[in-house]
Amino acid sequence: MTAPYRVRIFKNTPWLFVPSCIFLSVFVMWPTIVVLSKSINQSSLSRVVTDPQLRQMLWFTTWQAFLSTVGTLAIGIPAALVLSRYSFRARQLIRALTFVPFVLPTIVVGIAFSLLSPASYQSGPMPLIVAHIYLNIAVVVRVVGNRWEKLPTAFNDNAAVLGATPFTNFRTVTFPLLRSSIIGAGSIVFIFCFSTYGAARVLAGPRFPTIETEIYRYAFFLGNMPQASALVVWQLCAIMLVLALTYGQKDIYLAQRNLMPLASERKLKRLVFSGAAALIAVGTLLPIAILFIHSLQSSQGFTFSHWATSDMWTSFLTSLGIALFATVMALFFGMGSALAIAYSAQVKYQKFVQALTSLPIVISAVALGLGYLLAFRSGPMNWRGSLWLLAVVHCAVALPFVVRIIAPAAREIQPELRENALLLGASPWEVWKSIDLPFLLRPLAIAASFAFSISLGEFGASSLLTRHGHETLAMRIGQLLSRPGEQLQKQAIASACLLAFSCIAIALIVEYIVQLNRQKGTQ
Amino acid sequence: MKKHIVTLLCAAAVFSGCAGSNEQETKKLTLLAYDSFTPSEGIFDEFTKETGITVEVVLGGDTGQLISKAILTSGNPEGDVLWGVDNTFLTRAIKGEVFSSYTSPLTKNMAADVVKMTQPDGVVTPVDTGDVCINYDKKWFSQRNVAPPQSLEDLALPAYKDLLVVQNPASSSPGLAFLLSTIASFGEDGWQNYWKKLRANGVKVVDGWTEAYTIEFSGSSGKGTRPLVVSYASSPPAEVVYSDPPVSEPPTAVIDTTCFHQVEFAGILRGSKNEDAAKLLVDYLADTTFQSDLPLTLFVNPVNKNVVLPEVFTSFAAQPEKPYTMDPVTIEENRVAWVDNWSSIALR
Repeated sequence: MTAPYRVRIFKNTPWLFVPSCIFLSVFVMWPTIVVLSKSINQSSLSRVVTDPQLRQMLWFTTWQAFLSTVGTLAIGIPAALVLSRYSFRARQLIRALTFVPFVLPTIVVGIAFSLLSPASYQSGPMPLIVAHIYLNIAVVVRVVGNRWEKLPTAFNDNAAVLGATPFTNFRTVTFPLLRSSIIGAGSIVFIFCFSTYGAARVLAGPRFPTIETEIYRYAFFLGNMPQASALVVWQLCAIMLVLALTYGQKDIYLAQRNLMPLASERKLKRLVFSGAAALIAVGTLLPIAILFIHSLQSSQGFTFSHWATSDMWTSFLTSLGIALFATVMALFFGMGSALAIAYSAQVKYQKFVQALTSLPIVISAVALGLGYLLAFRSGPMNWRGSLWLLAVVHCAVALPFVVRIIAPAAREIQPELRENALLLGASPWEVWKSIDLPFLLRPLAIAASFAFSISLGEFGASSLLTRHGHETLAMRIGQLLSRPGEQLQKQAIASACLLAFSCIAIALIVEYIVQLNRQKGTQ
Repeated sequence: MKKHIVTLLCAAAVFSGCAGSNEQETKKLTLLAYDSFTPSEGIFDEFTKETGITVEVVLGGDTGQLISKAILTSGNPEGDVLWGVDNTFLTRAIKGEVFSSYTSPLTKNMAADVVKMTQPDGVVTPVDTGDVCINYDKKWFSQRNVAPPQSLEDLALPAYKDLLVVQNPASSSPGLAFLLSTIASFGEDGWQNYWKKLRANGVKVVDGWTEAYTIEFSGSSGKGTRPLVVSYASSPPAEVVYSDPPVSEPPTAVIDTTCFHQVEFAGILRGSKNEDAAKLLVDYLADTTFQSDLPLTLFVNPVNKNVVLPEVFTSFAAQPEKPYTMDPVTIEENRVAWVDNWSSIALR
């Protein structure tokens, strides 16, 4: 269904990638190379395969990531179905809610679970996998759901008329059209679970180390940098392999369309769908609700004192400022890279850009944080301790997601529209402004909410950067939780709730803007 | 697009101008410390008044992170003075050539055994001590009419089955301190057997202090099920100071025969451009003004004997008479082997 012939009006646009390429070289590749070249050696590299304990760790990391991915897809795909086939009142809200676990600090999720069922709280592979599913459903709902929304119901209706059972219908009609998005979501989830850190420490426990917890342990507790670097390299290779295997799925173009209201469906279907939607909402909200109530409690009844500390609101403002800066940067670089991918006719160039922009999720947060320390410490690049460097790290971490959200959308813009505009005498710039840009506003808005939330929640790399008393909300939570005293603990919980609420708010604002935009478009 | 890049570069230049502190201005020192370094606000004002030097505190992770980072940047450090390397990390830091030797003359006001830990090198200055001990939930034991354990041996008794939670010594500082405590107590040949008994008695191992104290332990803010946890001798007064609403008695107490004595040091980072000023700062850190602030802000014991301890601290913080301890060199020499050995006994 792709157009056999295209007037490629944006054919000479590889330069769009230049700013991001500079950014990635300076702020991702160079620090990584500096830290790896300083410490790596041959014997530590080979020890990863020869040492039985490290081998066992690699095997555990891989299988738990695989099972987590399968589980996330198994629950995430039905959830995406519920949230993207019909329009109903709380749909946007529930979609926004699924995103919250994704940004909550894992230790806080651990506390929520332990408050839910203190006695049954047992560490091991199962809790880790369950937590991974909980944390990553948002990815599947977003990525697969966005595709599913566009799938015309007529396809399935026709198949049903011809006698296809619901299962056959899914297998032969829906699945092939969703496949690329499922593989895309699956690969992101796998990478997350493979490089899991906080969840593994809290939930899997000391008996089940993963590669990222081992990198951390070798680097900071054993002081064995060569071994830590060797593990970083192994992790990098493994994730690169996953990306290479899953990239380049062909996609059939589907146009944006309006959803059928759920109210127009049969009663049984209405019940099933609204029931499932309610279940998703309760499932994601429950831990936050528990945390919120916990933050309001003291041994003498309810209190708002844990929410009334000026420290919390100061660090909240710091977080907002950094997130704003990081989001603007991530959109600027991400848009450039995404358009460079979308407008390029060469698969090799697309792959090159895609691979480079994936680097920040491929490289361990420990390596990135230590790399900054070594790379930016002298002469004109003595940036250690500066606040804006935090925004740069957050931008780098968010960039891969921004690219992955915008690039497919940009590729789906029908070339015929541009051709028509061109024939009518518009300049390329006018074509871009009047055809491409309106299509890109929605993905841009979604990417902005992703980037903003990622920045709010980022903890790994930024905790390694030194700072002059300006801590973000996520850092503050970690600091409060590392000291005894009920007040401090409760303040940490309150801060975590604030983090969750901000993410919900951002997601809702973005959905609202997108809706407004769409209504304007249909008028 | 080009315009954007130029704007961005300009912005970067402006920012770096702000951040790259003026090297000429020797009147400013950077004190590098772990994240939980939270002295009173304005505590360095007096130092500035006396010397004209301002102090900027920069935080950067936990002790392990701080030391690994200091070793990586040795010779071109992130600050002038480092606060908080303890006896479990000191030897590694010295081997990594992190410090420029300086011991404050104020060590004359400190206990001899503490000062001895900086020997033979005398590279750093002791600044505080603390003890890692088993804490227990007072209510849990009184409600059941069970006497809390009295010693390390007691922890292996059937009466205390499934009650203890400890941290992994391979990733947690108090976890390592508790392991060292058992090694100091049972000796090189006996500790393995003790841990086998602890494991049979249902000891739970978690990765870090936060998981153990806030999730598993029953005596603090969480709703855990285990009334015995490895924490600090100063955790009970912290529970009083940060209680909500105010309480007069801590909900927890310490078994003071189980303690491991940790000593923390401050040192001048090699490569500091302000070594003379840095010496003044180290002296200030060891002097009474700063030392008096420590008990109720960092919940550690001052090392300067001229400091009078506040009441809430003396009445609730256990002051174990004979805590176990170990010199930094022995710890560094054996730590990897001990931890590996421990893992195979307690985890696998």
